Amino acid sequence: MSEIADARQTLGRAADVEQQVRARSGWYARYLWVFAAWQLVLVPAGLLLHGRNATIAVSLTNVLMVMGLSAYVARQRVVRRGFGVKHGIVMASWGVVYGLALALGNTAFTDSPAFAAVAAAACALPLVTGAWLERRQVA
Amino acid sequence: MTGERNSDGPQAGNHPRHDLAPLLNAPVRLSVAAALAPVDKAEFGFVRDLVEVTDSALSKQVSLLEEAGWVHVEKGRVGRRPRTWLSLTCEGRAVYERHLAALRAIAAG
Repeated sequence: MSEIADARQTLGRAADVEQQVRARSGWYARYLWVFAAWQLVLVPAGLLLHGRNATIAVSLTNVLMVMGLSAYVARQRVVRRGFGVKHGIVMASWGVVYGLALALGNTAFTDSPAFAAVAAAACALPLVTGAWLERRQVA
Repeated sequence: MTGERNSDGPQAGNHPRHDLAPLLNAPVRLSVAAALAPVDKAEFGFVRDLVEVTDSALSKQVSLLEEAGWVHVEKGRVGRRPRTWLSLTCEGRAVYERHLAALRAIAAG
């Protein structure tokens, strides 16, 4: 009887520690939310603003944002299991959509605010999906 | 290895307790394994705060797990700050899962 109670108590303790770790390792979802929100600025700016100064300003702001997010990642104390694969899939998906959005926005839909809005949402979608999946794992 | 089932000893039998890894019977070591199970790696300080032990106590327990080949210790730097990362090895993960499965079987009666 005591052996059974001990086993249950130990299992409970292990499950509690695992849950605490999951709860404290939700930084990647926050990272993805911020990067997704950034798409709503970056994509329309990249498609609708023209000229040398605008290009430099957009590129510079994007570099600063990526540097800030990278610094945020480097400060984290825990890396969730399978992070490398997950991050690779999310970023590859975003890269494809972003490339497509830029290509179409600069050829077929030049200076179209409607397309810029749709493209921004499309670029944010893989990141939001990743954040949603990540958050589901924490719960 | 400590986590392997001993089929020749006097305790050999079908009871799930024979699948328990004696090294994980210590609460701190089990908590360390549980802390590392859902992650690829975790910083030493993160595990210390979670398990609520001192640096030296955690260091001692981690050394035992490292000697068994269940935990990998990786030292590195982020900027100027030294960092020690802990992770479960494949063998460590398998032993931990087996240990939990044995506990579940015991708990089920």
